[in-house]
Amino acid sequence: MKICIVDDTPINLTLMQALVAKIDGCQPVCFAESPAGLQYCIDEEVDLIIVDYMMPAPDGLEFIAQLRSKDTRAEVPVLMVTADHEKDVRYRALEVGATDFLTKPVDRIEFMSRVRNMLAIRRSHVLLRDRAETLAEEVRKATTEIVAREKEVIYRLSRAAEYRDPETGAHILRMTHYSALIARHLGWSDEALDLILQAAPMHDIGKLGTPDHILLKPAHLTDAEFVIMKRHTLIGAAILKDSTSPMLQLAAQIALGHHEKFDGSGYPQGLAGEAIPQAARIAAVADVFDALTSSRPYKKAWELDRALALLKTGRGGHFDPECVDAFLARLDEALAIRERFLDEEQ
Amino acid sequence: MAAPLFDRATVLDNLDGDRELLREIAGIYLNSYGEELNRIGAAIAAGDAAKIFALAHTIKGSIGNFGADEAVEFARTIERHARDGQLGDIEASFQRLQALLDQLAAELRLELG
Repeated sequence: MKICIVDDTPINLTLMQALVAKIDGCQPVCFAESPAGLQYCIDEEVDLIIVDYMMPAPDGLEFIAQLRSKDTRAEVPVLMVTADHEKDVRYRALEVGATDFLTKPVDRIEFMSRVRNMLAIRRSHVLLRDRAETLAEEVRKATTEIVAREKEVIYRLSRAAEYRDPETGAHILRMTHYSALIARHLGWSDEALDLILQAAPMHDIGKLGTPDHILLKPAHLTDAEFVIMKRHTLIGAAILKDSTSPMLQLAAQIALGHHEKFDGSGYPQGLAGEAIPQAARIAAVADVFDALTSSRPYKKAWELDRALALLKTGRGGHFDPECVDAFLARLDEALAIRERFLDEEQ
Repeated sequence: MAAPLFDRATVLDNLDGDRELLREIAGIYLNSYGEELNRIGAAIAAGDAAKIFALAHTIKGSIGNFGADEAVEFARTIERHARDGQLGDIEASFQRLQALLDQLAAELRLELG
């Protein structure tokens, strides 16, 4: 252990250095000048400081006061060396943070015992501190792992849905990023944006429960088939509902409400205006825009201008006007997203 | 002859029987005590109470390591007079201290051989 000794009297410095060196595992670091000793004790973490009281400034009291003013040096034990009749000095030393005293002239038996006691306290303290740090680190690691695992499970759930869905993985990525783009423009926080980036990919997860002959039909659906198709919103909500995870709660809202229309003419509940959760209103714009500008087995991709015209026409009818305006305000970024996540066959 | 100042048995015991350490601190004393006396003398001549106090305190702290009870007592008296501003009373004690420190030096030289 490292023990710093600060005393301007050469005989005492030599003596204490020699005594400290006799204790197993102790390495004395000596300073005859108080300012240099103080600087060393602030810069380096030592295990014990032995400081004389009467020295050219800073004296022992000032030394301890300055040391203790550093947050990181609140715990290191400090022994101050005084003559034992200097009672008022000792009281002041205790006030500024001395741990204990050594009497001058140095008595070997007392000196060795007090130094050993201080080092025992120091060892316990360091052990406790290290254990607390280790525990905190383990909790951090475990929490990070849990969060990562939750994200992974959700990602795999989304992947499972993709395998059932004739729409591409690129559609899901574009729709998700359009959704986050609109949400950011509407003032969502970074945490909320992180949630919608995770939740939006599951908007069509209910298609897991849609029969193949409807889901994979390469033409327009009959009315009866469309009734069944619409159920993917309810199935998605059923898969995702009642979670304590804010992200899954958001995903359930989007899955249930992304086919609702602002004027109340959508499905499955026919909700209107702000009765539709904002995340679902956002997803509706993102989902429709990408559907229009992508090619499907039964249709070609629309030109950009035609798709934008439809968004504007649907403003206040199909779509929440705020969400359309947000999307149009960030159209450059939206087009960059479209370039970034291209369908493989294109 | 005056009673010995250097309490050999007690000091050596306090150093855990470490003769090398005794030689080392005795060497430091012999090399520095004359200079320290000169500085006290100069401070007394200048009437600088704060300096007298600090120097007497340092000497007291150093020589205590050799026993030297009587010398420690005179250093303490000087220290007290300086603190209380009674500079007129210091000179006599200082002369006694000088004599005792010379005696201590002689005893330590004998010890070192």
